[in-house]
Amino acid sequence: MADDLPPELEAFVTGLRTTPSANAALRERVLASARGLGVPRRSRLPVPRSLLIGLAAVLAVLVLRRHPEGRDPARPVPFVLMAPKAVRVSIVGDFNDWDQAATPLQRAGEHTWWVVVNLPPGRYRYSFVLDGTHWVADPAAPRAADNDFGAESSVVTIVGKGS
Amino acid sequence: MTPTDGEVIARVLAGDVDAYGIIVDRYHGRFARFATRMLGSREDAEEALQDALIRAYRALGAYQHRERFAAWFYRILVNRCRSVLAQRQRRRAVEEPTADQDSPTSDAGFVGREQATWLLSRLPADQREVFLLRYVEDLSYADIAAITGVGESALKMRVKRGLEQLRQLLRQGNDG
Repeated sequence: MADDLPPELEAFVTGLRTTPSANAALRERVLASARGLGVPRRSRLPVPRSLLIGLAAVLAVLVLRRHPEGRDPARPVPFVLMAPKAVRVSIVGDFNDWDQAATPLQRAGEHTWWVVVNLPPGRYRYSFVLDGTHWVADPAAPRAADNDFGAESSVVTIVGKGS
Repeated sequence: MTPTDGEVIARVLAGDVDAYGIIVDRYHGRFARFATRMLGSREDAEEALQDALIRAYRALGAYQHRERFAAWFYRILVNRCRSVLAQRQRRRAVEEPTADQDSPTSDAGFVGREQATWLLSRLPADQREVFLLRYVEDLSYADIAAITGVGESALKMRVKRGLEQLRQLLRQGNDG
């Protein structure tokens, strides 16, 4: 038990520590979904940064051109942050399951970081993470109204054709 | 010999999808405990946990630090729980306000699990979250900061406020 827990609360915490018993039905539902989804795709091997930026630009143009009628495809959404002192910056949000390793930003010049993320229409909460620890909202986007936990986050809404 | 998380995830990525069951079995207890205590409802907790496990599965290939699965997964689960609470809040905003829930009575004071769960539900969600991660899940402040995105000093302040409120509730419960 954490050593900074006041002794008068130890019985209270003990009451909360019992773990729910194994849930075979939940396990089976998760595995059934996993089987339906197939083997998760591996992330790509590291490639030179310049190639990544070039690929992102080409992809953005392709997605914009291939805009089939009657469908709501993912749109390339650029995210830009000024963070001159940061050594690394990533973006976490509803679209990448808040995984800091999933979407790193690229440095563009001395102060600026950027990345392009393809997002289908929808509303997404997100934050930037500086050097793996410091979460900041996007100064260029609205703040998340339902964020009552103190972690800074923003909202981006991608409007669909039918919206 | 028990395979590490990294070894299990490598098996999944190599095509053994059912090996994900090892991860589910390994962590179900603590993750279900956190979600249940956080949401105060077994049904909501089960739904949030299932959803988080499937989201994590989909993202396994992109996750780099495979030996730190639990820390990464907490982040997903914490955000699912926050979403459930936000949905509840929005629902409440359009429904009639309900009467404050009475505390469960006990001759023995607030020591049982039912009383502890009720007591915990009296804390604001942000304090409840950090209290659970710190004292029930035994995580360090550095780990909690990485999971929640809240700075360590702010977390410590929340814990301090939460402890104060719990002490007060305990005193009221034991006096009453």
